[in-house]
Amino acid sequence: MEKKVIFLKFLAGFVAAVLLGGIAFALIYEAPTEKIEGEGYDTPEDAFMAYLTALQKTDREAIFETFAIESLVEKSSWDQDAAYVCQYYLRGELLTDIESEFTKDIMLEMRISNVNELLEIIYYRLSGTWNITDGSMETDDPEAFIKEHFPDGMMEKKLRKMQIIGLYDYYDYFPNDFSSRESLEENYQKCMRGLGAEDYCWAVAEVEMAGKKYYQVIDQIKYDGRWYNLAFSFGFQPCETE
Amino acid sequence: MQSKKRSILYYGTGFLSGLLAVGIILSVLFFAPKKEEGKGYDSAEDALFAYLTALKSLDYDEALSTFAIETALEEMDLREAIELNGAYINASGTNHLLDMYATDAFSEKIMLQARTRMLCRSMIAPFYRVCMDLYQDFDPYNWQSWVRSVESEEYEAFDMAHIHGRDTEKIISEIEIGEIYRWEEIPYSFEEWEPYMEGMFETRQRALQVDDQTVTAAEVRIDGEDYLLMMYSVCYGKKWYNYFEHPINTYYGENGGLIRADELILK
Repeated sequence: MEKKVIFLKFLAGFVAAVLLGGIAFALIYEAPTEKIEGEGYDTPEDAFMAYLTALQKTDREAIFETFAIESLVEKSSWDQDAAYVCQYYLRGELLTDIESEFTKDIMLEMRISNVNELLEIIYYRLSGTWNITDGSMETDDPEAFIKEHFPDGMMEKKLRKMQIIGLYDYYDYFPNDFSSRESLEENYQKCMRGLGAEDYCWAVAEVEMAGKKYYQVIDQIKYDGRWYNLAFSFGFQPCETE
Repeated sequence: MQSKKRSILYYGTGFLSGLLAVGIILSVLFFAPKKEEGKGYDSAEDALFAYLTALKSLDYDEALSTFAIETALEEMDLREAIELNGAYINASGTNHLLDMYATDAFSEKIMLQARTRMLCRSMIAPFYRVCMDLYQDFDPYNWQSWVRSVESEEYEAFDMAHIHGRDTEKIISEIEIGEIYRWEEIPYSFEEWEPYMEGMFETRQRALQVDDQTVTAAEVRIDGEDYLLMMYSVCYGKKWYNYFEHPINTYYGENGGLIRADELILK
């Protein structure tokens, strides 16, 4: 009899805790938003700076928040004039309009991958294994190679020491660009149509990492009055040829 | 007095146990890191069948989960890969199968997404594209066959044939999955690939650190057209996963592992 009472008391405490814990969790817990992109920025410079700051902190989620992800996928369309441009940004060469969740999932994954690829390039640049002329680096000592190029914590350590030198207007940074302003402007118009954007621009940032100066040219895009990063037109380049 | 104290002790123990149980359950449900890959399959054939079934069900996450993702990164041995090649090969970042390596938590996430990217861009999206009736005829000796563009005067016809005039998702949901074969049972002739296969299996076993591996092929009918989908499959422990399309496929074009049956010769 006494055992039964003990058990019932224990059970009462247990149930009370489960109920209270469950209610408290339901009140406190904020379900993560499904959206990957953030709320956007007032200016293209703000979007670029937010990206660089998130990169410095090696905060992957914050990096992705600065890019147009869902907006790009939802607003891009099979536009007769801009088909090629859409194809370029939604990499994977799948050119279609969204029909339902399955197609949207593929398009979203490709857009996420597109941004991730930029981080992959940074990783290989920082490891000193990117842009190898013949696509390989010979070595008879794999252990030493890994130690030299991929030591533990390599990427995080280097990014956290990254210095942001400055943000520049594209035409100021590249006054002798081979492309004419007119042809670039024409390209902007195509991009805007194909990607369903309100505005489009390019900017350049200069950073220093591990004693080397790099520049990034970034395409930026405006949706619903807010600026987002779009893509790095020329990847992540050393200021001086390696 | 003593009994009151005892009662509090019983209620308290129950309460604490309840809190602990809630904590464990909630952390498993809400905070445990989500894996992209599934639990694996008993055989390579099951893994390939599961992939095709997921595509047919228009379930992207399920299709992706039939591939080795986290385990592939964990097991990949860069030192072995370098030793086998006598070089570190990075032709185009992680498009290469043998250079997945992370130095920290940040780069690990990048590598995992890179693996997902490779699977989406080279397997699932091209499969979808074939269902749009955009099978890629590819001639490795003719670079012009690599370029795919639509001329402006063709847009309308292209749109009708492949985009708005076609219900691609319905076509995917109606694919017919036929026989599934292991490499040695495939009814088509790949004689010239036999010597290559041995080398490939040896290299990959060492670099990818797999416990077993094979190539599977499934007969698939898409919108009345017959294809063979060839998959390189791997086994970690006792669980099989899809890994990537068979290297033969790159010779036929980027079609997510699909080869049109009329391009193949029966044994």
